[in-house]
Parts: sequence; structure tokens; C-alpha cells
Amino acid sequence: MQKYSFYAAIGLLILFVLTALVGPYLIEHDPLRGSLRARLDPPFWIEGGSIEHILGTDRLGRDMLARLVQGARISLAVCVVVIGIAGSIGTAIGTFSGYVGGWVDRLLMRIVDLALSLPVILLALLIGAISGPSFANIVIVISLVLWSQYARMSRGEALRVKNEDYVALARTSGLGHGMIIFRHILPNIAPSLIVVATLQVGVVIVLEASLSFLGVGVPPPNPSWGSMVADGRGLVVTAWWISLFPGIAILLVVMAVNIVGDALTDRINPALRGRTA
Amino acid sequence: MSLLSVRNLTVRLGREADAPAILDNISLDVDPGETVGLVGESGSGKSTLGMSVLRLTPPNLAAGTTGEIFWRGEDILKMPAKSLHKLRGGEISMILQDPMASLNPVFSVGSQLKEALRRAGKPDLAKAAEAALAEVNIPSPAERLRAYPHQMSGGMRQRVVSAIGLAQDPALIICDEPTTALDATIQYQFLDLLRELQRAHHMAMLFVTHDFGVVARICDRVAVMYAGRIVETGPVREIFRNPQHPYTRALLAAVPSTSHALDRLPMIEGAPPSVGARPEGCAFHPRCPLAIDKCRMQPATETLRPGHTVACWRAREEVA
Repeated sequence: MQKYSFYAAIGLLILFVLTALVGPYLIEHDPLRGSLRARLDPPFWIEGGSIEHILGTDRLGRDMLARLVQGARISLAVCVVVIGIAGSIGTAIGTFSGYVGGWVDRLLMRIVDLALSLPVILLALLIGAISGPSFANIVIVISLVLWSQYARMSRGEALRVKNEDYVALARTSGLGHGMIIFRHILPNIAPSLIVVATLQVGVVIVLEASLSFLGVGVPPPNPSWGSMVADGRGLVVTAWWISLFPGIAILLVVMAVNIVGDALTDRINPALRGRTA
Repeated sequence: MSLLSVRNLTVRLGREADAPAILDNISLDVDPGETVGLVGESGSGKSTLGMSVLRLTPPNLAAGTTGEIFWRGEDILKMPAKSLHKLRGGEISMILQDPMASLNPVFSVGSQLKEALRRAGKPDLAKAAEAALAEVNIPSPAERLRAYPHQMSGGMRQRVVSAIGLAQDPALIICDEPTTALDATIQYQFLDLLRELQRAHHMAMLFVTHDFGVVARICDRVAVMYAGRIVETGPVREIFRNPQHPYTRALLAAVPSTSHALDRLPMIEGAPPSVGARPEGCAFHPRCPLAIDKCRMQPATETLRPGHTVACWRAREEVA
């Protein structure tokens, strides 16, 4: 059973990534431009709908499917950029902290505690209010919150690995600290970090959607799944498809990511079982 | 001139003069090509001595280190970082106890061996790596280069570790209980290999162990340590034939032998004192069968015969 859900999740993720990468080229509708004559068309299987707009249109007459596909691209872009930035900064700080130890370590870990205690939404609203919603802002906000996870994990792992005999031997053979970190510490802590990164994909998607829902995420008219859900909020009784489809998309992708992440955790590092993001 | 000459080395747990001493006034010489055994129970400070020679003790111990360690006449404790880096791995290398932990699990043994050979400036790395594995008696070395540490047995890994240690042709190799994690037959094979390598490379060896059987097999001289002090040193033959310190005798008596059957091995009553709670005077006196009142004072180290020294009040009497 578990195996099937794992394969289904992997399949979904591949579909998600493929959609994000090539989807927009396969759909003739422009996700940003609608026609007011086709406002609030329902999906094709409901009376009044047409095969022209398979999942219907929103209140500006924009094609839902085209917007969903474009939204996948935005979600993926945010994930990749945020995890890249937060992951490298967090890992660098954590590894350094764990390797050096002493007061440096204590100081850096207090900063990590601080970062962990930041309320995401409040911070995002603040930055959004100051500089307006933009792709850059959302990346900065989410990275500010998430780097600490990598710092925690890599610090703990660096503490473990630096006491291994092969690190001691590397030191007895005159290897410098930089070489020891890059050749002996990082490769040995990479598996745990990959697990953290996988589990965070879901977190990032949800955060991005929530922030966009609140209007401080990806600025309109770009279709983020979160802002699409927000768009349909007022019409959920009459035109439910506007909110429902992006909602389902978020649910499916996040669930798939978590299933894969959990499976990876069990595979690579049984000690982490049950700990998510 | 000795290759390595330790003079009055004291390592305390911290900078203060009254901090507990892990090593107390150690003096020891290692000549080129010679094997010196360092014997003692756990916690006697023998591994700390090994690490001190490379100045790789943790910062709190490094702060509490006094004395001198001369390498070819130059004090290691005062060496600039650059010469120190050249010393580590270049002139002095090390083999540690656990072959399972001594290799980085994510790289093939070939890649790790080549790293050391590259530092040694060998031109043809692939060929040099193959030759290095062949030298430590690893069968089909070319294939083994691609293997990962977990694919090898303990004995084989320890041989790879020594190949890496020898890559830069060190003048001294410090072996910290390299056979403890191996089973008995592999142990002897490995010791024989070490001895061959030592002769071929004309290296000196500082061999840390708690096993007198190993000492007998490989060492020229031996220093017996107890609670951070060297209590007796001498040529191996002399120590085996004519041990003077009661602690040395007790250790020798605890070596299992096939020549006389025993139900139980003799043991030393009590446990070695912890670093913070070492008794006054001779640290062994609470466990010593020959202890007298005088033993509450630290005995001087006396030379009984050339090369044979002992720090015990009762030693002279016994000889006399």
C-alpha cells in the first residue's frame, strides 16, 4: 500500500514539474488575458460550459487551465529559488557553526532561534506593506524563515561528523579546515539536508499560496495558486471552480511532496522519522 | 640525535597551574627507525600523548600544555602553522584504533588514497595508488581502488588506512591501538605487515597499546604509563625479563599465556584513578601490593641500567 502511494506521489510530482516546464507552451490561451464575453464560464461538463475552456474561466474571462498551468510554474520557481537560497545560506552557517564550535556556535545558534521564532505571515505583511508585493519579496520572506531549519540540521550533523575518526585522520595528515569541511563534512551531511529540502517543498508551496492569498505574494495579474483561491473567494457559491481547482492543485502537490519526503527520510535517515519540516 | 624527543611534557585540563594533569612531566625519546611502545590502561594518557605530538589536542588541553616536544631539534609546540602542516601527514602520520571509522564512507578508497598521494606530489596517481595497495598486501589492488570502505573487512580497511598513512613517506608513524578492533589472527598479520613496512620505509613508530602481547611482537623499547606518568621505560627484553615497577609486573602477569594453564587471569585490584582524583605521590600506591608509607611521596625516576628507568621507591630494594 505504502509503495503504491509512493509511486503515485512520484508520478504526481513528475507531472507537476513537467506541467510547470512545458505546460504553458501547450495551451493556446493566454493566462493573463481574458475576454469579458466569456466571463465566469463553468467547466465544460456543466451546462453553459464549452470545450474551449475546459476548466471554465474566472471573472475576467481568463482560462482557468492556462492559469493553473502558469501557477505551477510560479510555485516551482519559488520552491527552487527559496530552497536554493535558504538551503545554501543555512547550510553554510550551520556547518561553520558546528565545525568551529565554542562561542561562535552559541552566538549563531541564538540567531537561528531568533529566526525560528519569526512569525512568517506578520513578517511577510510587513515587507509587503513596505515595498509592495513582488516575486523578490516573497522569496526573501520565505528564505528568511526557512534558512534556520538547514542551519539547525547541518550544525547537528557537522557536530557528529567532525568527531569521526576520518576527520581526525585528515587533520593528522595536515589537511586545512576548508578542505576538511568540503571533502569530509559536507558530503557526509548532504543526505540529511536533501531530506530537509524535500520536506520543505511542501512548506514553501503552502507559504507562497498563503502569502499570495493575503495579497503580499506574487503580484497580480500573475496567476499564483494562492491568489487564484483568493480571487474566487467571493464567488465560491456561484462560480466554485475558480477557487476549487487551484485548491486541489495545492493539496495534491503538497501531499505528494510529503509522501516522497517521508519515504526519503525513512530511507536515508531512520532517526529522523516523523519529524517534518 | 633522537627523531622525537619529549621533554617534561605536562598537559593540564585548562590553563591554571592547579588544573588536573592528564600528562604529568613526561619525557620520552624516539630514535629513527625505532619502535617505542606506550603501554597503559584506559585513561592513562597514552592517546593524549600521541595527539600532543601533532599538536592536535582540543583547545582546553592545548592551553594547558607545557614542556617541549622536539622534532629533529625543533620544538613542535612553538612551531609556526606552516611547518606544522608540513609535519602532519608529511613527516608524522597516524593510524587510529577503529578502521571502520577511519575512512570517509562517501568516497572510494582509491579517491582517499590518491588524495594523500597527491599531497605527496606523486606524478602518476593511478599507478602510485595501485602500488600503495599492493605494498600493504591487498589482493587485486586495481579493482580494490574502486571499492568503498563499507565493502571491505576491518583488516583490509586498516591496511588501506596504513597505505594512506605511508603515502607521504613519514619518518614517524603514531599507531593508536591499531589492532584493538581486529580479531586475533588478523591482528598478528597486521602487526607483521607494519613491521615489514617499517623496515622498508625506515620509519620510527610510536605504538600506543594496552596489550603486552602486541608490545612483545613489535616494539624495541617500551614505556609503561600509569595515571599520566611514565612509571617505567626500558628495552622490551629487559622489561619482560626484569620488570621493576609493581604496575609493570601486574600488567605482565595479566597477559594470557598458553604455557601455564590458569582458571582465571590475575587482575589488578581496583580501578585506575580518574584525572581529577589522582592520589598524592605515586599514583599507583592505593592498588600496589608493595606500597609503604613513603609511596605517598612522588618517587624520582631512577636509571637502573642504561636505558632502563623506573619511578618506584621499592625498585632499588628489590634489586639489592
